[in-house]
Amino acid sequence: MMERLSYVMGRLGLMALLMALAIFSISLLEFPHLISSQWGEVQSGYSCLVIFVEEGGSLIVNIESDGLEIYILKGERDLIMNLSARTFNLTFLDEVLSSGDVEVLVNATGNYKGEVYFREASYVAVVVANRLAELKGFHLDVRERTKLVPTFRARYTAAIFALAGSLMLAPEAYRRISQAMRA
Amino acid sequence: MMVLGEGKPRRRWPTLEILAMEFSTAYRFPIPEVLIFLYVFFPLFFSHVARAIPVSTEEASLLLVISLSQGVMGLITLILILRNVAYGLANEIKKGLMQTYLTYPVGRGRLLLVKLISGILVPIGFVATSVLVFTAINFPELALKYPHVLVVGLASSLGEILLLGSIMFLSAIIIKRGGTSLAVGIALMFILQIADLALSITASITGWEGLWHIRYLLGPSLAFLTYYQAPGAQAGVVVSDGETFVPEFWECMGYLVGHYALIIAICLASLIYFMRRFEPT
Repeated sequence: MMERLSYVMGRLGLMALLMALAIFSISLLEFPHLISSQWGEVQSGYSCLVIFVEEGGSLIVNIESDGLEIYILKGERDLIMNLSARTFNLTFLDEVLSSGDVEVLVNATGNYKGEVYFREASYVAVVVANRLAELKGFHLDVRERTKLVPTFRARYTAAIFALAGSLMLAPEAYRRISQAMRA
Repeated sequence: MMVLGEGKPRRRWPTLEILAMEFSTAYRFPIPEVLIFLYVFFPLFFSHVARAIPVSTEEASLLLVISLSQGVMGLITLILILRNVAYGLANEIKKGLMQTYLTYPVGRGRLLLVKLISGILVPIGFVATSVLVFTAINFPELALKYPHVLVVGLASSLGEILLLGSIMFLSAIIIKRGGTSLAVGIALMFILQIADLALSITASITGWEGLWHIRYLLGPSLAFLTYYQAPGAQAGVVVSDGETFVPEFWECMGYLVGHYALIIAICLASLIYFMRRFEPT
């Protein structure tokens, strides 16, 4: 009877291990998609793109401009939403930047090409600002690379399944190994 | 001195013996391992779709997630039930294996229970695991906030598979031929789906509330989706006088209970037929 119980537990343990493998492998997969690709012009003000990035996601940003200021900002939802809801004047942008309520992830001038990773779900604003009265153009290309499932939760669940599976499989594995050794 | 019957220990639970034999045939290594991998992997692969669905209420979101994760693997579950019940069980009867089983010291009712467990309840277990893992990874906060929605959503989703499985089960023991039973099982799948669609369309056109009651009784998950205002679930739910029919929560629970009563009635019919009329030849 114990032998059978050990066999059943072993099979269930193996199934738990395969579930852990399925969850872990899905947590490695990424899903890149285009958020925005646009050409624009800005004069004595700023242009802003607000994005919600999921946990473990990253933004691939490519901005080409003629000497414009580029910011990638992270902050509270309302503050970031205000950036795109207000009248796009530089005074408000400067207030936000100097308030310390937003985290400046990128600050560049002219062109910027890079990838920004987000460990947790975040509200992000990609801002292109022109402090001159002269109209200047830019090209902005933003792609988001998201994980198919929330990474931390998936790996945590996978670890629990792997642990439970290993514990359930251990007696049967021990029994088989000792049988093989005796043979 | 050797005494007859002393060589091997006597098996104390013959029902468990038959269950073990059944599992060693239908679920030999690595079939369940591969199945559980697929059941967990594929719904999770479509996680971003579930997270992107715009919904009006959180409960509707949770119900849609359950429905989506069950739907992804629904076809594999039905194939599994078709193979185990419609083909496997009927083929066992035709080949005389059932006759051998009936010579064992096990009641017919217990034998039928073993077949029900291995043919229908194990695939249902795979689906339930898949839905729970999917929900735990993608929407744990919703599942904790609305555990009753998780329970009724899961019960109604599984009930729909159980209904089809129990009808296939009854048809398999009546038909007793693998090929014919498989064809009937596939036909039943389509008939139930067409009946669902026909009921919904006719109810929308005629505006007869009674048809909606029958539709919700056959598929209680739609009733819950309608109650929680999931997108698309209310399309066409209009009764005469231009009034929209939205079931109350207690009505939805009534459909769910009625649905399971229907399943139990079909299983009881199978049991009565198997115990009184069934000839394993």
